[in-house]
Amino acid sequence: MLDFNDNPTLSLFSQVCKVATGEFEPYLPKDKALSIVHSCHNPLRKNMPTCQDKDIDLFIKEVGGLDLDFNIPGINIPLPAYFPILDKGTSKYPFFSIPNGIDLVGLSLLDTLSKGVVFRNGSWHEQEKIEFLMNLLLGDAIRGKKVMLFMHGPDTLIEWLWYKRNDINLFKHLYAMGFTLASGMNFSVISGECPLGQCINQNKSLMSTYLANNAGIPSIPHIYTLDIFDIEKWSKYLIKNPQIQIASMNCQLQDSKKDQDVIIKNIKEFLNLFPYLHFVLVGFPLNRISEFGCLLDRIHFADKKPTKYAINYKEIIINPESLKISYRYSSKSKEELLYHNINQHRIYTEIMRKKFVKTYQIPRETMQLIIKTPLIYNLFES
Amino acid sequence: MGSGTNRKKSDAPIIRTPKASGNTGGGGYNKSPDEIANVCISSFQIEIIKHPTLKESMPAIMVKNKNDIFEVFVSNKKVGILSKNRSEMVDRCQEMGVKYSGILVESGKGDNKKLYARFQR
Repeated sequence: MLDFNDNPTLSLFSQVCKVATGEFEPYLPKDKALSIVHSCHNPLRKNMPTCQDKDIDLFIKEVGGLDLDFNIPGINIPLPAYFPILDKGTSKYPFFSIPNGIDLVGLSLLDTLSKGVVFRNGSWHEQEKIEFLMNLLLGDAIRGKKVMLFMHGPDTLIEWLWYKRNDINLFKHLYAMGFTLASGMNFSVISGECPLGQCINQNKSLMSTYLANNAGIPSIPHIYTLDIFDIEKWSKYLIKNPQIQIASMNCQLQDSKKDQDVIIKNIKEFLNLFPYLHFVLVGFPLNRISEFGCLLDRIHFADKKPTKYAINYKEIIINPESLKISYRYSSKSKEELLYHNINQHRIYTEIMRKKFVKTYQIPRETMQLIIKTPLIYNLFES
Repeated sequence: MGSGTNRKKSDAPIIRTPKASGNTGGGGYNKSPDEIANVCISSFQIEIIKHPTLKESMPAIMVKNKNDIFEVFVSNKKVGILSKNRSEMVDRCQEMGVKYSGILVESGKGDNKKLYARFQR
């Protein structure tokens, strides 16, 4: 935990954590235990295993030790500045719901299943039977497009699929569905919890990237950065694996300005350290992307907001004077709104990239949209 | 879920012990957390009879009666009863150290609005 000057200091639970003894160094520095604000005592093993778990060795063995040590092949797929994340419902919308020039869309792991988990009585529940939607990528809105699979979703889903991965041939099924690209499974890493459990979850995520690649799905690592130790750990991994040129980070849980500040700082640090590296940022608030400045040419934003808003009859609006993004309720159809909302986020992202990266050429389709909106075009020209 | 600062109560899985290498079937090692994950469902709810004094968000508790059936109480008032099967599950889960916390929730619209006692692991 942090003291009044934001310096790490011991919490009540720090000394109870085995990480504090240095037992897991060099992979887990003992100072990691300073960040603990929740007890490692977790006999029911709720949410994740901790250093106190009687079977912790099995968890460490499962991911091949505590070092990040999976050889992931390099993937070089050109990515747009912005692409939308749909869901299984909107993937079946008519093809004209997705604007021209949007050649890549995202889907999440939850969308790939017809059975596996269910939200009932206020909680997520596992279902014994797991069934894949093998024709998911044949929906009218996405047929023929490149589709990136974001392996994120509720923890209940992620952990259940991971546990059953061999029984259900998880990665073979996902490969057969035809995804162009995937990011590693997004196991939860929550600040203040046992660093050993966090480390295992990070390794599980990288291992899932490795397994997906082995099954034939080009997959990129999902990077987590809670603190300086994580940045060091992932930097060492990237130095050892220079073939990795694209990584992803999920920013959907970072609602506060403080948390978003940390993401901006960490992404900048990675991009400055590795001048060839690109990042896919999922769910990052677009109204703050200007803070990345000239690094925007290596950041690719993906979000689900246009989809969620369209489903709820919300129309995204960019204020042409201030470029602020807001929404209003609309009587337009969901299909029209999806088309409109995706375009708004695309225009905004492209304008921002062009503003900070002078050599960047906005794609033709987006440029035509900007020209059609005189107020935004004037601002863009100025 | 990702990296962040908070967990959701509605999404709190019990993590099962990894299966041994090469073992692709069965239910792991059948040790305590695995048994809890298999037996103790993450939430359940029962409909209760509406009463002007019962409101959404009020805490609900379960008390076992002499017939080993759990009864649901809100503010010292008995408002419902669990089935025999559900009572057996709660009993077994309590023995394994699992607690269910209860709260009243409303569901439905207009005249179809119903009140439930919802219990989460």
